[in-house]
Amino acid sequence: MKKQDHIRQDVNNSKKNSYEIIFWIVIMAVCVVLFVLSRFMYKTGKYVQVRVDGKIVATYPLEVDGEYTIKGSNEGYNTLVIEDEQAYILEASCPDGLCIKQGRIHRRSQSIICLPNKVVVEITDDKGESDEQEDVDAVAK
Amino acid sequence: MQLQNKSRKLAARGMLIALAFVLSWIESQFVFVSIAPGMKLGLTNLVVLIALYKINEKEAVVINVLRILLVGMTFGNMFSFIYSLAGGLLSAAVMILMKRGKRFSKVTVSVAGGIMHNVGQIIVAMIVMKTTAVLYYVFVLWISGIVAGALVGMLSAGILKHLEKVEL
Ligand SMILES: [Zn+2]
Repeated sequence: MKKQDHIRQDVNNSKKNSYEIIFWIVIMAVCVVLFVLSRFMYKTGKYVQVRVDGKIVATYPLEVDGEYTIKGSNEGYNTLVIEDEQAYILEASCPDGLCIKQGRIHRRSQSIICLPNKVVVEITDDKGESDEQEDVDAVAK
Repeated sequence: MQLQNKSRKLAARGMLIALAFVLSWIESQFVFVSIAPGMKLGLTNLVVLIALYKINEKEAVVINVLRILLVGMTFGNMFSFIYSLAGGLLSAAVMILMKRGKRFSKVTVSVAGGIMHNVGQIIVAMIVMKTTAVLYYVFVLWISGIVAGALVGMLSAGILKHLEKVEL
């Protein structure tokens, strides 16, 4: 009786183990796929796209240095700086200042997000459709 | 006797919520700064796991939702609230289903919960910010979900072992 119980438990355990192995194979396979995808996206992008509340408000070339003021929602602002083919937020009106702490970006698909101002700064490869494209020179300081 | 039982049960649930509250505070101190502000590691899954294995599914969900509401009202903003709601509910749902299957260890269940916690947050970030830019971070979040989930899983397995003879 006891022996039978043991055998049953062993069978149960090995069944359990094979599910565990499948789980980890799937998890690791996704890992590899995501790694390859993010590598692919690691290339330096061409443009800096600025979105406020989902709408593209401006696109700047990453090669051209400049300082721009982004008017975010709720009267907020973010000062975007493009320098040495890198973009970052120098100054912002948001209380948390997290967008400043997110640092410099230059790779395709990388982004800086300012939640309070609903501002997304994203590196892209194409200019993209602008909803209300501002004149690049007009906002350049 | 009946009353004693009831108050003991209440005290145990109160303690779990308090523990979740502390864990939420701890994880709000470490921000994934370079990812999306407001995202959390999912340490509170520790409490969900304990409630899930020690009490039952319903209680685990109730404790989790109470925790999210309390933390959201105390030290969150609207965004961190919807992040934790999405991450918390999705990971709890997956952990419940995996536990029901009876085929996975606690650590594995926790790892799946950790990953789903981050997946839920990413989905919300894409909706809130109306951008797919956050997808860039999926790889990093996937890994951090595995690591956080494994740590939480091992910790809760240890705690559950100590609680073996205690009835909650
Ligand atoms: Zn900001």
